[in-house]
Formats: sequence, structure tokens, C-alpha cells
Amino acid sequence: MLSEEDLIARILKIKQLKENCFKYLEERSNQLLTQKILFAISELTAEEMGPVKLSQIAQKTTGEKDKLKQDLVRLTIEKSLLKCGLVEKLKYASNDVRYILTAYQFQKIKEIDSFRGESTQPIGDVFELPKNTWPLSDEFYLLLAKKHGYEESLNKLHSDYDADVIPRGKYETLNSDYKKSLDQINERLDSKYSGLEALVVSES
Amino acid sequence: MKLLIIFGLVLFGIFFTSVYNDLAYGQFSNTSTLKVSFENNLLPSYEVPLISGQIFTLSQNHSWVQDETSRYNLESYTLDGEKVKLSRTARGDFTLSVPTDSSHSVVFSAVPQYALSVDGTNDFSFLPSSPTNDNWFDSGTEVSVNVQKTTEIENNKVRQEITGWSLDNVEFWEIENDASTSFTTPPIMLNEYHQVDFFAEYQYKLNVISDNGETTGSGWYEQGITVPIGIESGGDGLVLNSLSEWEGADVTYDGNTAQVFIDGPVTVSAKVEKNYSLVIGMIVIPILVIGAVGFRKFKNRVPVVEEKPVERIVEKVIERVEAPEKKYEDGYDKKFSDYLSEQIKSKLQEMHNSKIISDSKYSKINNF
Repeated sequence: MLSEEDLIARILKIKQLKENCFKYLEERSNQLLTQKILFAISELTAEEMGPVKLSQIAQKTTGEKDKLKQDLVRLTIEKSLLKCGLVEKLKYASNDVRYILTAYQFQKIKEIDSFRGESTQPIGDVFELPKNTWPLSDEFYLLLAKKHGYEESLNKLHSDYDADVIPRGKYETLNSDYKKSLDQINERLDSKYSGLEALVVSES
Repeated sequence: MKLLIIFGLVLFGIFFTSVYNDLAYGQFSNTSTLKVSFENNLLPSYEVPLISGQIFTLSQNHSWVQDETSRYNLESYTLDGEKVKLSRTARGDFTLSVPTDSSHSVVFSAVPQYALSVDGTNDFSFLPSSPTNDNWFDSGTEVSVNVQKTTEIENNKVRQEITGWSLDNVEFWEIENDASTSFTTPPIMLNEYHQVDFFAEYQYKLNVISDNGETTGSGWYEQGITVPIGIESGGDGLVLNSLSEWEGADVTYDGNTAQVFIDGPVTVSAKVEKNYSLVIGMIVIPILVIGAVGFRKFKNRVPVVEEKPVERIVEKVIERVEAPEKKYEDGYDKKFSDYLSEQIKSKLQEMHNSKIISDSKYSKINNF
């Protein structure tokens, strides 16, 4: 369906929202179907790694997927989430319509109309949807874990060699192999997942 | 009085002429327009007034939706009859600064494009590549997908081997397991949306290692098979090497043949012991015999001071044959590899506890 690059671009993007749209993300709206739909699309997209069907969203938010519930969800999406640009509707075929979030980070803004012209002013911090609902591939998590693993293993290798636990030959072979693996992991993270590591790990 | 009337009429005449000229100039200055149209009426034409002295910037999306599965992408524009080719791109707006000195016309030309989705691998390329540098292609283009048959998932441990592919989940084909490193699909005509799925199986690396001798059996194997392994232990001159045991995995070993069941990446190491029987037979025993003869002769002449046991003499001889070596801990490779696995698992768990990884993904990754 969508490429992984497209999904990553959505994660990295910070979408600006006016107050009347940002309200759907706020705590005070946690009982509203609109917010439940937003979080459901986010969770389902992370599992499917792509856009999701109306029936899946209806099942997740209402526990049922009959036509009545699907109509209710469709109406809510079209009346609020599509208009605010929070959700994108993709038609793959006449009978295959799917939905996906346009972004996973949002900035509340205020529009100022002055004699200098129109401008926007950010209000508060950037809101981000829970990280465990971001559509990130298994490969990305594995790369992060392996990066940590190889870094820690190299530290242990150095201290073991200093403590004369292993001979020099073995130390040099393992050091070279593990460094090579760590370099490959870093290269993959920098090329395919540029910007994500800092966003996902450092700010968590 | 008459003179005054005539003077007044002249003044009115001068004033009227001046105002008329200004009005006429004002009307003329507002008549410049920009007419924007699209070849084959892909989008509605429109016209905008151009205000003299101000720069007008025309903006147009590079791509826009045609229907559920296709889009149009800008290819060129014609400004006052002069055609200009555009650098193709999928996203963003094309902008053009239009001079406002006179009226102009711009005609945009766009081509329909269809998407070609590829699932099952990230290691692929399109032949030819997309003119918009994504997975969208101009209508009527024939495109092949080139995929690397083998992708290493975990360095020297786990890899993915492409075994088959399908087009639009309707037709399925197997990919021949030959020596080639990549596979290219036949050309696919892009006159509608198409999806290509690749199917793969996982393979695991078996490493058979030993400090002494040459091992057999190392290689890539699919899960669930049993692989025979072996070692040609050899020797160092008179000191022979002999296999004592296999370490590192569930190795079935009956003293002669050994087999490993592949259930993931495996490293097994052969423990080899040095066999000194030949040294003892060829060097130690003759020395002892000669020593014993010499001792008898010496005993006849000199009183015995101390009787050394035979074992001590053997130890001394072996010590001379084999130089003293520093003893390092056995099985470091395996312990180190286990440490790496523990660190990876602990990081995954940490990310799961910090709600970075969802429960379902965590359980899937952990099982893998």
C-alpha cells in the first residue's frame, strides 16, 4: 500500500492545527468518538503498517462493525477529522477505501490577522500520539536494540581484554567484527530512518 | 465679465483633459491578464488580472488526483507559445514569476501516472526508475522490479531468501534457486494500479569452529533440517589432536558422526585435546631406557642420593617438549555472544516498558 518512507514522513511531520481541530487531541475530549477514532486509526495503522479499513476502525472503537456503526464512524471522520486534515482518505478501488493519519505530532496554533497580513502563532508544546502507536517497522526497533547491544558488548570486550581475560588475537578479531556490525547498523539507521532515532529514543 | 467666462472655460478644459488622461491611463493599466489553461482540459482554465508594477507568482501543484488509483503529474508548460520542460517531481508546488507588463497565457501539460506497490522486501529497485523518483509511473510505461534474492537480517546469523512472487495477488510464480544474486520480474504494463508481492523464507547461519583443525558443515540452512558436521583435527608433528566433545548447541554425537538441528542461528565449537602417546612412544620411552641403562652404570660407581619416580621424569620431558602457555577461559565466544543477545533483549524490554514498542510488536520481535 503506502511505502515505509511515506509512513516515516508522516511520523516526522509536525502538523499545525487550529484550536477548533486541536481540541480532538486534548484530554477533555477523551470520551468523544472523534478522539477514539483518531487513536484507533493510529493503533491499527501501526499493526498493519498501512492505511486501515472503516470496518476495522468501527470494530476497534465500538466493538462492532455492522453497517450502522460503520456509517457512524464514516460520518464522524468526514465531518471532523477529514475537514481538519487530521486524517487522509485513500481510495484504492471503488470498494476499497482506507484511512490513515496525516501526522503523529501536532502543534496548536492561533491565526493572527493584522495590518501586516495573516500569520500564525504556536500555542503550547507539540502534542504527539503515543509512540507505541507509530507505524515503525520491526526492523527499526531491532536496529535500535542491536545498536545498544553491540555498543555494550564492545565496552565489555575492552574491559575483558584489559583484565587479561582473553588473548590479544581473539580481542582483535571480536573487536573488528563487532565494530563492523555496529557501523552497518548505524549506516542503516542514518540512511533509512534518518531523524527517527533521536525522536523515538532521546526524547522518550 | 466675458473675459472671466472665457478664462473659466479654458481652465475647465485644461482640468478635464488632465483628468480624462489619468482615467484612460488607469483603465489601460488594469487590462493585462494571465490566462491559465491545461492541455486536454485536465483542469478548468482560469484568468487572473495582472497589476502593473507588481510581481505575480503563478503556483500549480506538481501532482493531483485523477481517480481512486491514478494521478496527473506536471510535465511541461507553455508560456506565450514557448514550451518549457519541467524537472519532474511528485510533491510540492511549481511556481512561476509572470511579468505584468502585458497579458500572457500559460498552458500546463501533465501525464497520467499509476502506482506500482512492492511488498515483502525493502531491497528492490524499479527498471526503469520512476520519472518522479517514487513508485508512480507514466501511463503506458513497462516497468520491471529487480529484487536482491538474499537480504541479511542479522549479520552472519539470519537472512531472508526470496522464493516467489505474485502480481495483484492473482498470478503466482516461483523464483528459481540458482547462483544469481538478484531476480527481475518480467515487464509490467502500468496502465492501472499494480501490486507485486515477494515471498521469502528465513535461513540461519551454522558456524562450526575450532581452535585446531579444519571443520565442515558451516553454511546457511533453512529451519527444521539436520546438518552433519565434522572436524579434521590433524596434529602438530608428533603431538596428535583428537576431538573430545562438541559445545554450543544440541549436537547429536555418537563418537563418530555429529549432527546439528537448525532451529535458529547456531555456533558449535569442537573441543580438541592434544594426544601425546606418540611423543611418549617415540621420545620418552627411549630416553627412559637410555636413562635406566646409564643409571645402572652410574649406580655401580656413585652412591645413590635420591630416587626420582618415573612419573616425574615423564612430566619433565613433556614440559620440555611443550612450551608453557598462559591458560585463558574456555568458551569466551559463546559467553560473549550470549552477552550481546542479553543486551539486545534488555533494550527491547526497556523500549517496551517505556511504551515505545506496542505489546503486539514486542511479542512478535521477541519471538523472532
